[in-house]
Formats: sequence, C-alpha cells, structure tokens
Amino acid sequence: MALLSAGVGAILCLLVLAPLVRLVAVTLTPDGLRAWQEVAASELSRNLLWRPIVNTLAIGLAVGAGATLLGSALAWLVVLTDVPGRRLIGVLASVPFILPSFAVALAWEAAFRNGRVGGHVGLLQNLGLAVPDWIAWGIVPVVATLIVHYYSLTFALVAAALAAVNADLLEAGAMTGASQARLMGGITLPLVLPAVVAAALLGFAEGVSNFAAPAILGLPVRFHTLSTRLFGAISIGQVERGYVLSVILIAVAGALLLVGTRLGGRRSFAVITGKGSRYARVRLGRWRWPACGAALAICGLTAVAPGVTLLASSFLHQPGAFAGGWTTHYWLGPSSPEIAQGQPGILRNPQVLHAAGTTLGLGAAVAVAATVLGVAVGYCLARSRVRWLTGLIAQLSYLPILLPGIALGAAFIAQFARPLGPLPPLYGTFAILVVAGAAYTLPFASQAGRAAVAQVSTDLEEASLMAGATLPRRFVAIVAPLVARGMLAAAALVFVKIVRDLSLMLLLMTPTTPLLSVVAFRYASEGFVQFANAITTVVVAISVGVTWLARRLQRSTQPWMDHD
Amino acid sequence: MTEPAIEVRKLWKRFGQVDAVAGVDLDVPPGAFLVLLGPSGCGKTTVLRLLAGLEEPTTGEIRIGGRTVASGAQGTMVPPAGRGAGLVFQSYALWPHMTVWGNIEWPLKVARWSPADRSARVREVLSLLSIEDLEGRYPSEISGGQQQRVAIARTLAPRPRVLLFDEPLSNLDAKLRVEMRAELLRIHRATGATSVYVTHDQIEALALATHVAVMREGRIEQVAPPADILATPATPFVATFVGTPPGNVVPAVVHEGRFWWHDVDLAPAGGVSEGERRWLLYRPEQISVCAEPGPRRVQVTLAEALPLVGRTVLTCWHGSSRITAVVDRVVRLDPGATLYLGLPDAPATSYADNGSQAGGA
Ligand SMILES: Nc1ncnc2c1ncn2[C@@H]1O[C@H](COP(=O)(O)OP(=O)(O)OP(=O)(O)O)[C@@H](O)[C@H]1O
Ligand SMILES: [Mg+2]
Repeated sequence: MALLSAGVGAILCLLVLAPLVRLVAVTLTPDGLRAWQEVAASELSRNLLWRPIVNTLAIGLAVGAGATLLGSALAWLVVLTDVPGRRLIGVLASVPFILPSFAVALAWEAAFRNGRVGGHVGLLQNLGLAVPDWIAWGIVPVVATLIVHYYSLTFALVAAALAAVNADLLEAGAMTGASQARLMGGITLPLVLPAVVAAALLGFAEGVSNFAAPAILGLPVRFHTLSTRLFGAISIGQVERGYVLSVILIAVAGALLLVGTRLGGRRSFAVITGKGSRYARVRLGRWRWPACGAALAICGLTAVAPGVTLLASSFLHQPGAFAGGWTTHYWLGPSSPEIAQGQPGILRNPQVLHAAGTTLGLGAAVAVAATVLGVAVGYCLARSRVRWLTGLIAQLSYLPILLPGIALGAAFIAQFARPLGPLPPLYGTFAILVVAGAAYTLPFASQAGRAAVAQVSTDLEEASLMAGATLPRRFVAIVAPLVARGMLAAAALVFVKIVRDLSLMLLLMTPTTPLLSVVAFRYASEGFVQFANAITTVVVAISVGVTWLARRLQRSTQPWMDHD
Repeated sequence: MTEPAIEVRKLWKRFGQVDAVAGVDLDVPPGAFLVLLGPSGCGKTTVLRLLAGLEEPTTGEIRIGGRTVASGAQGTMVPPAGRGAGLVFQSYALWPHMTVWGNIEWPLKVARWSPADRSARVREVLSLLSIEDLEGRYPSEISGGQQQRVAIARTLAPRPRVLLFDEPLSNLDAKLRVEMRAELLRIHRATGATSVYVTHDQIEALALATHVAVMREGRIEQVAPPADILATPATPFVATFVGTPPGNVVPAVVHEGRFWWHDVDLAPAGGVSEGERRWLLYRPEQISVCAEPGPRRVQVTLAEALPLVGRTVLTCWHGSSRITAVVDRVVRLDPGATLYLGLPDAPATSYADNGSQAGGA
C-alpha cells in the first residue's frame, strides 16, 4: 500500500508539480528575469500585460456574474417550480458545456461577423443587416459566447444543490406564511449559496483562462487577453515572455479559485436529519408559460443554434452568404483550383483524416491513462494511512483545476522540450500530448476515482485479505470490477474533454501530430471558414454523442431530473 | 356541546392512481390530543399535510376553529399560514443557516411581530423547552434531542391554535423518546393547543392521546379514547393492530349451529345462519397453554417465548395463522415445541365483516 501511494505520489509530482516548478524556474533565469522586466516594467508592458490583464479580469467578472445569474435562474425554474417542459429545459441547458468553446465562438462569427477586418462577412450582414462592431468583435461577443458555454456548468452545479435541499426546510418556511420572494431570499438562497459561489468562481476562472473565444473574436481586432498574449509570445519564439505570462495567468485564475474553495469549505450546510418529503413546486401562475417560453428560447438558442449555424455554414458556397448557393464541396469535394486554393473537402483531405485519427487515438489514450491514474489516486486516498502522502496526493490531483489549459501547455513545453534525465525530449511526440492530457484531466478523473472507490466497502477487501489475497490481486479481482462501471462513464467524459480541447493542445501540437480542434482553429484563422466549421461540426457531434453515452452509463448524473 | 376545533368531512386525496386518503371524517374537540395511528403508508402524513395546508384535498372539507380552510367542492384553499396551525416535521426541518434563535424568530419576523415582542416570545419558548443555552448555536452543532426541542419551540412561537406533529420522536433513541413524551404532555397542558400527532408506535399513541384514531388504507377505522380502543376495538383490524400484544382474530364458519375454525369447535353460533363467516376476537390473556389436546384446544408450534415482567408472551403458529397468548408465569419452552392453546368458552367479541383484512387462514 505504501509502495502504491509512493508511486502515485511520484507520478503526480512528475505530471503536475515538475512542469510548474520548471515553468517558474525558467522565468527566474537571467533570460527569464529580463522577460519579467519587459512584461511588467517596460514601455511594452501596457500592451503586453496591463491592457490584456484588464480585459482578462473584465471577461472573468462578466462571465462569472452572467453565467451564474443565468444558470441559477434556470436551475431554480427546473428544480423548484412548475414550469412546463422542465425536463426538456434541463436537458438543453446541459448541452452548451459539452460543446467546445471554439464551436460557440465560430458559430458567433459565422452569424455576426462584419466587414471591419475585411474578408467575408457573416449571415446577418449578408442578409442586409448592419452588424455594429461591438457585436461582431471584442469583449461583448467574447463574454457572450463564454456565458453561453459556462452557464451550462453553473446550471448543473446549482441544480444539484437545489435538488439536495431537504424539501421540509422549504415547507417549514411556507408554513410561516412567508411570500415566495421571502422564502427564496431567506431560505433557499442561503442554503445553496455555497454552490452558487463555487459556480461563480468557476465561471470567473474559466472566463479568465479561456483562449478560443478571445482568439477568434478578439485577436482580429487586436483585443488581447493574457491567454492570447501568451499564445502570441510563444508562437513567435519569445518563449520566456510566454512563460512569464503563463505564471501571471495561473496566478490570476488560480488565486481566486483557491480563496473560493477556502471560503466555501468553512461552512457547508449538511442536511441535518431524516427523510425529506415531496415538495409542492412553486406555482408560477400566469408566469408559467412566459417563463417556459423564455427558458426554452435561451436553452434552444444556446444548445442548438451553434451546432446548426456551423453545420449550415459548412455547406455554403461563399462564407456566410445564402445567395452564393449550397455545396457539399467542403465536406466531400475533390481538390479543385477554383475553390479554397485547391483544398479538398475535409473527408477527402489526408491531413484532416490524419488529424481525426490522432484526435480519437489521443482521446482514447488519455481516457485510459487518466482513468487508471484516477482510480489509483482514489484508492490511495481511501486506503492509505500515511497522512502526509495522502495530503500530497489530494492536493496535487486537485491542482490542475487551477491551471488554464494554455498555461499548462506552456509549462509542459518548459519541462519536456529538453531531455529529462534518461528520457529523450518529448516535445513533438504523441506521448507528450497524452501526458499533458492526463495531467489536465486529472482533477476530474481522480474525483471520479474517489467516488467509485468509496463505493467499494473496506469489508469486501478485508474479506479477500482474510482469504490471503495480495494487494495487486485484490485490486484486480475486487476493486477493479466494482469501480469499472463508474469509471467507464468518467473515461468517456475525459475522452470528450480531450477531443474538444483546443487551449491545452494548441502549443503542444506539432505537424506530425495534428488534432482536429487545432486544425479547425488554423483553418478559421486563415479564413477557410467552411472547413473550420465542418471540422468543428464533427467535433461537436463526437462530443455530444459520447457525452450522451456517458450519461446513460452514469444514469445518476442528473439527480434533479428525477425530482418530481 | 362545544364546537370541534377541527372538523374533517369526507376528505379524499388522490395521488395519480393512489387514494392516499379515502373518505376521512373526524371531529377533534378543542384542547384534545388526537393521535393518528396506523401502519406505514396508511395515509397519516397525508392527513396531516392536508390539515396543515401543504396539500390540497381532492374532495372533502376541512374546518379549523369553525372556519372552512379547505374545501374540494368550493375550491377554498387557505394557505398554511392562514390556518393558525403549526407543524413539527419528522426531519425537524431546522434551517441550517440560522442559529437556534434565528430559527425560532424567523416565523415571527415573517408574521411582522415587533422586535420587542419577538425577542420576548423567543425567550419564553426557549425556556419552555429548557434550551436557553443553545440560542447562539447552529442546528448542526446540537444533538438530535436538542434539535427536536428547537423544532417544537419554533412551531410554538407564533402561538398556533392547532399543533401538528409528524412522527416527531421517530429519530430519537428509546430513552430520549420516553423523556420527550413527558415533555410533549407538559407542553400540551401548558399551551392548551389542540394537537394532532401522527405515529405508528402504539405505545406513544396510548401514552399521549386523549383520543386515538386508527387508520388503515386511507380510512379511519375507529376514533376513541385509548382505553376504549383497547377495550372495545371496533373492527378486526383495530383489534389486531392495537394492544401489546394485539388480539387474535380467528375466521370461523357456522356449521350445525356452532362456530368452527378448521376442525376446532369454538362456540355456539347464536343466531348466525349455517355456512356464514364471522371473525372472532380472542385476547391473548384469555388463552391458556396446555400440554394435551382437548375441546377448544388448538394445536400450535411455538415460534418464540418472550419473558415480560413476570409473564410470558408466547407467539405460536397454527398452520399459517399466528396466535399470541400471554401466561401469568415465566415458562421455559423451546421454540419448535408442540403446544395446545385453550380458547375460552366465548370470544371477546365477533365481527361480521373483516374489512377485507385477511384475519388468518
Ligand atoms: N406526493 C405523493 N405522490 C404519490 N403518492 C403519494 C404521495 N404522498 C403519499 N403518497 C402515497 O400515499 C400513501 C399514504 O402516504 P403517507 O405518507 O400519508 O403514509 P404514512 O401513513 O404517513 O406512512 P409512514 O408511516 O410510512 O410515514 C402511500 O401509499 C404513499 O405512497
Ligand atoms: Mg408518514
């Protein structure tokens, strides 16, 4: 057992701690220190750091607030009121988070792009509507697309918290004659406040870390955030500057989350006792149908519209213009010099097919690696008695949640671009993608691992211990089969996270290991919108399909759905 | 005659296909302590929630203090707070984010009491329940028994005319339960509020009640003071449900002017005609235990012998019917032994109808 824990601890150190330490260390070399100075205290700082950091914080705050408001309101409607179509609203509201964030941003671009930066324009402009710049570019669309993406997460968190509130507590409130508003302010809200705060912090951190939305909707008009600056610096070879920006980004995103978990952890309202009873839902009266309409409109627009927009625009001859007619060229067409500089349709393009293969392979490899690691972490945390070691494992397995994907990618470059002891430099190999993916998805996988292992009672194992089984034997014969079901769903979700990821892989990918999301991103930045949209549609389809499968495996992921 | 504090008329509550409450009529006199007693799922909680106003009746009417608070026919539905009733939840339902003081005070705030009145009243109920020291604590920082007291204090604070309790003691351990029973009686005397109390524990019912209503499958089988319920159970179900141990009800068929249970000749059938069925009640204490067969003796197999304050309760099987007997001495018998139970000359009472209850084979 001690050996296993030590092994897991060592792997986590290598996976999570070492790249971070290395990242910081590089910024403390003479070159690194010069980069600090350039970034923070030179005439470049204004553009390199201060403006991006203001933008970044503004995006984080707006996304945290917006996503929390929207998600909580929808969760309240679905869980506690008699709004018609609750189930459908609940299902739709959980979709946007499954979509890659670059899908939402590309869909926004396909709809709202205007002529400001030249090139093609979006659907609305082509239909004759003048789209103002502030809707097409910059902070407004970035915040809007990120809210679309993350309200879905807030919804899930708050809905789960609301569903866990003992109905008696609300009925006891109703017995006093308090109005609905009073009940909500005096009882419901304080009870779910920890979840709401956690959701808001997560929304903030995600808004701060996100790369795809500002890259697609901000970069063309020189709207920068920390993550786009970081990407820019590294991709033009100013690696140290990139590392410095990574450290700053990690500090900004991580600090608040860390504070938040501290705050949230202090007072959690465990349900006191006894069985809860069935709760009479809040009657909305004449607001029932308007509320239903509004909720369905929001969820429909955010869950369905991006996918449909992308799919439709991938069949348009000219980007964003119905007038130009429809074509299947961007999917199936052979190379022809008149269209798209001779690029064939994505299903005939060997590069895209190669990317599809690598992406699926990477998703599968990371899913396996992360799941195995997750179970091992869960097992150590549940069974090991070495206090400091379990503490270390718990902290390290949680740490990546504080790390923006693009910054983690930078840390991996810092660590693995050179030979590491006996290991050859991993940069440019498939292996580094797998390792980085495993580190990135570790918090999720180990949480799933903990939950799964917690269901295997110690008794079962002790029974086999009495029978003389060794640890590996027990693990394989008792633990593994019992956690398999839960972990299968987790593996599927890890797979999805990787397949739709852009920010982590963007810096790590090289032409020998192309990935769908990165290829789509490149196409989009080069103006080949239909290809980008077609590939993104495929990624969306895979993400939604596999997530749906995983949910079926889990069944219990949405407890609030069974609450009637 | 004074007007009942609570009147219930032909009350029905249907959930989908289930009739949780199926035609309940009830009069509760002012100041009474009515206990609703019945097996799990018989609709006790639903009746209580209907009284509280947390559930709307499908049909029927409820009047509290002479005022109609719910009526299926007229569509009247007075909201919970307008009924002058307080409910103590089985789960206590203490708001975990408020202190003990806050929990008790909040309903008064909602009812717009002045701050001075509020704080005086909170102090008063805290001392009534002897929990003055706990006022600053959160619910998660006090014991189960203390939470129970806080829940009661919170319900009492707005001075409800009617107190409703849903199995309030079921989460407490045996010793605390006895203590809290005494406490509840004291509070009932102190407040004089008409109380309706749900339980499936008949000891609790008999200890607390001025009136017991025995429920089964959404209906009330009998309402009477506890002693009467024990002395003259109105239906075979009540007879077999109430009492420690409960009575034995035996299905008998009339043959040649006598009641027969299988091949046992029980008693003269009186005026009952040939071939009819009756359900005969034999109290455990009327049954004697014998070693040999004889007239009115039933051959049984002993399932268990439970010594109880100088007596022994014998649970026996006759085929698939269970018979309980009490003997006035401590007997030593092994389970599995064959015994003969001697029935008295005449049953305690007989019922023409067992209300679809299978009273034995
Ligand atoms: N909201 C509901 N929806 C559907 N069925 C319900 C609902 N509430 C109660 N029932 C059903 O009505 C019947 C009576 O339920 P009730 O809770 O009143 O029983 P009870 O006597 O309080 O039982 P217990 O002693 O177990 O608490 C049960 O069959 C129950 O399943
Ligand atoms: Mg009940």
